[in-house]
Amino acid sequence: MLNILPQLIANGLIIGAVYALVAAGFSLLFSTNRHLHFGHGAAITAGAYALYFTLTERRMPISSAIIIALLAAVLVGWLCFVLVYYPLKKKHASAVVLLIAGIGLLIFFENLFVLLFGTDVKVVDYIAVTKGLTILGAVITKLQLFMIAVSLALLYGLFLFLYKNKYGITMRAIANNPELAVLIGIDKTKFYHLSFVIGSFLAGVAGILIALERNVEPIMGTGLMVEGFISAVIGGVASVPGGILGGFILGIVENLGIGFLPSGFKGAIAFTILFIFLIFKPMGLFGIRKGTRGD
Amino acid sequence: MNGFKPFPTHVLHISSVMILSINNVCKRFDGNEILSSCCLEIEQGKISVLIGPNGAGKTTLFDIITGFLKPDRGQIFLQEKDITNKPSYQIARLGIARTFQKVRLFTYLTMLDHLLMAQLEQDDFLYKNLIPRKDNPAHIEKANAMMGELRVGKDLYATLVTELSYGQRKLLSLAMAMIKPHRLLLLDEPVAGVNQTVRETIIEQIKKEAKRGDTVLLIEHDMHFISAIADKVFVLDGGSVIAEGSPEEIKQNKRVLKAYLGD
Amino acid sequence: MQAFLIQIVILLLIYLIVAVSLNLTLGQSGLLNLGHLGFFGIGAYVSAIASKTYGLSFFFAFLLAASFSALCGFALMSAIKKLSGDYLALATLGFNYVVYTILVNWMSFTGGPVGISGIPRPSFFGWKIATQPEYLFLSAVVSFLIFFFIAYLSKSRFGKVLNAVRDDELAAMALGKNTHKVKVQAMMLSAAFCGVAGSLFAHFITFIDPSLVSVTEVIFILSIVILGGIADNRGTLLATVIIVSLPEALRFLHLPNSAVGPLRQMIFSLILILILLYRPKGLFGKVELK
Repeated sequence: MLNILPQLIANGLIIGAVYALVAAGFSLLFSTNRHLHFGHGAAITAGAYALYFTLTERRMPISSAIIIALLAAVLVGWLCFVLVYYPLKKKHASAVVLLIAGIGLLIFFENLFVLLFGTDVKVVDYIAVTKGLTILGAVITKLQLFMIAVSLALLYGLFLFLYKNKYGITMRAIANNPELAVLIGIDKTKFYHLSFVIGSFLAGVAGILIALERNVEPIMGTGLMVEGFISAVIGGVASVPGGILGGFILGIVENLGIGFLPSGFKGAIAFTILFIFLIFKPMGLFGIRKGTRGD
Repeated sequence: MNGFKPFPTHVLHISSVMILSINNVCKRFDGNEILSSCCLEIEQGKISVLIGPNGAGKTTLFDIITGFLKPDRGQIFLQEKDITNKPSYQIARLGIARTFQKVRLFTYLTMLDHLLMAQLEQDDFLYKNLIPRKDNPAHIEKANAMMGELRVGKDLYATLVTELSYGQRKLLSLAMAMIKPHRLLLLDEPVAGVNQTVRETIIEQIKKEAKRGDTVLLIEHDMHFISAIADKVFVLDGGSVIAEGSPEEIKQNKRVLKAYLGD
Repeated sequence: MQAFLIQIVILLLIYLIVAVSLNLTLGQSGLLNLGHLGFFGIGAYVSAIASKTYGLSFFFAFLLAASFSALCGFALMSAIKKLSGDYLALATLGFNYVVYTILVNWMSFTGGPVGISGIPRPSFFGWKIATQPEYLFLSAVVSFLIFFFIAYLSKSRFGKVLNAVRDDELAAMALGKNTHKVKVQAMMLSAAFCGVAGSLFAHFITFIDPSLVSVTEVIFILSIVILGGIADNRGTLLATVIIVSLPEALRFLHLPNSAVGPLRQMIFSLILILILLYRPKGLFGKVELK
């Protein structure tokens, strides 16, 4: 049994990289906006389908396809804010109302994609399936290595933004102490917009990576978002680095789990971890649980 | 005295009994120490008042006594029982009734509903409360009497609380606490924001409580009110008790005047 | 046409039980249970397996469905005891997902993704309910009993405490009410009724599969409750009628079959979002979702 361990861990790191992207976006959105954006999955799916459409159906060059896919993801996420969350927040909606609205958005977009593309699984046949390299006992393809690299690069970029860039630092300040931010005269709304753009961008990347490495189907966004959310809970929902760490942890634990259990239980493993954390450690590993609106 | 059971180390006079004992209670919030080795003892049958500047921790102390918050350190004793870690509903059942700074009522129940619910003990058990039982006439009688004493018109009984004025809501929340079976009554700013008539009614009711042998501990800012009513005053500042005594003693206490200017 | 209408009414009554029982936790005790459909699935499967695999009579299968759902309600409440707000809502969603996963994966018992078919129609002491009008009668009796019980409950002493717990839990605790116990009892009732609805559904359609509890169906039930307004069952009645008839009305538009499903979901989610934006109290609701 032990000889498949490196492979399981490698698989865990690969998918963990994607979870980390989703979780980072999710946590960024939560800490800045103080509510859970359940529609986040829609941006993932939008990016994936846009890539499929441009690359496979319209045969556009890869660079344009990626740009369009990212734009699609950002647009979807941003519209969720502008059309739904922002008006609701102006009416002082509670976190639960925003949560339900988010679920509504998720379901709406998921079914929109079914309507547009059907329920069958689409394959983006851009990257030929090559033999993988063997590293430390695990087989990894170049694309998978690329996935991990891209994810780490973007997350590092996010770190630079949040800690070194003027706007990023302001965003963290708003997350930490919104009342003080208002007193200083910061226009929080601009940063809400920005958070949705950045978060959805990361989600779009996740969608593109999964589309390239696996396939595209309408429920992929929902599934990934749930895993991303669970990763965020593990690390502490309001903590971006926590979410990233949580993503990798979840990826590895899930893969170790299905190494020994039938693969249908993957979801159950994730949800069991969620329940364990929600009941025993709702703050996550790093989190200081920031109050949600109306708490 | 019947049922006299003094604490070994906490009896001040042979004839007085400490009903509530707060021992070295500490509480921290977000890095701020709100209560710091807070100690006080409340004598049975007396009206005690807790005063102090805003943020001194008075409401937090109430919340800890009644079980809505747990202290980081320290204990609370209700006569001989350690109630520090008990859930709030159990503490309520042990005989502590309270009001809140923000008036808390139930939006879609009538005044009468409130007063009846306050008197019931087992109504949180579905099985026992499904079969229609006529409301206990003794309870209704008591509710009527209470509303009479608080000078609330009988025609208001069937009104939903959403239609009441602020003064009426304040009186109702006081009535609920008083009609609930209790030995100790905790009132958080009972006369804040009410007009003169309502104030006098409330003062009268609190005095009646003490005459009946119940104990009252209240938080207030109004020095006239306090002088009129208090047997003992505790001054809380920076999370601990900096002075205690009769209202006259407190008014002359230099430390108090320094910490808490104003009347 | 008549058969079609009877079928709609039966489904309407069944979904009405689901909606009204959800109102019991949401509207009466303030708990947002997104996993409510889990009880529907549990009730349906327990009833189906009890009568098909073990040959129990409908009466016992039905009771078993109700009791087992109530037990699951109890378990759920214990698990979420320390949570509040949206963490609580999410944990309940997780419950839904767990039920779904078990139904899909425990193949030997539940038939897996294929589900269970050939569920026997109910029979009471020899009287077999074979026709639709007879089933309508059964559903009507059961649902009316449940509605009247719930309406009665809100006027009883317990019902008042339930309302108090929803309005201001702290004040209720200060009066000595064990609010957790109150919420557990409400949840168990709610789960039992929803399980009953599941049982009725299973024996009517005679075929069930795990898609009954898929998380997307949550939108369906949420839109009913929010459209109808929380705490007020008249609104729930109207909302259920609207939302159940909508997909049927879509049939008359002659859309391709594959479009009906997603379109239905999109319409529900839009309705949900629009209500939240413009009329958060719903059609008749007294209380705004907190």
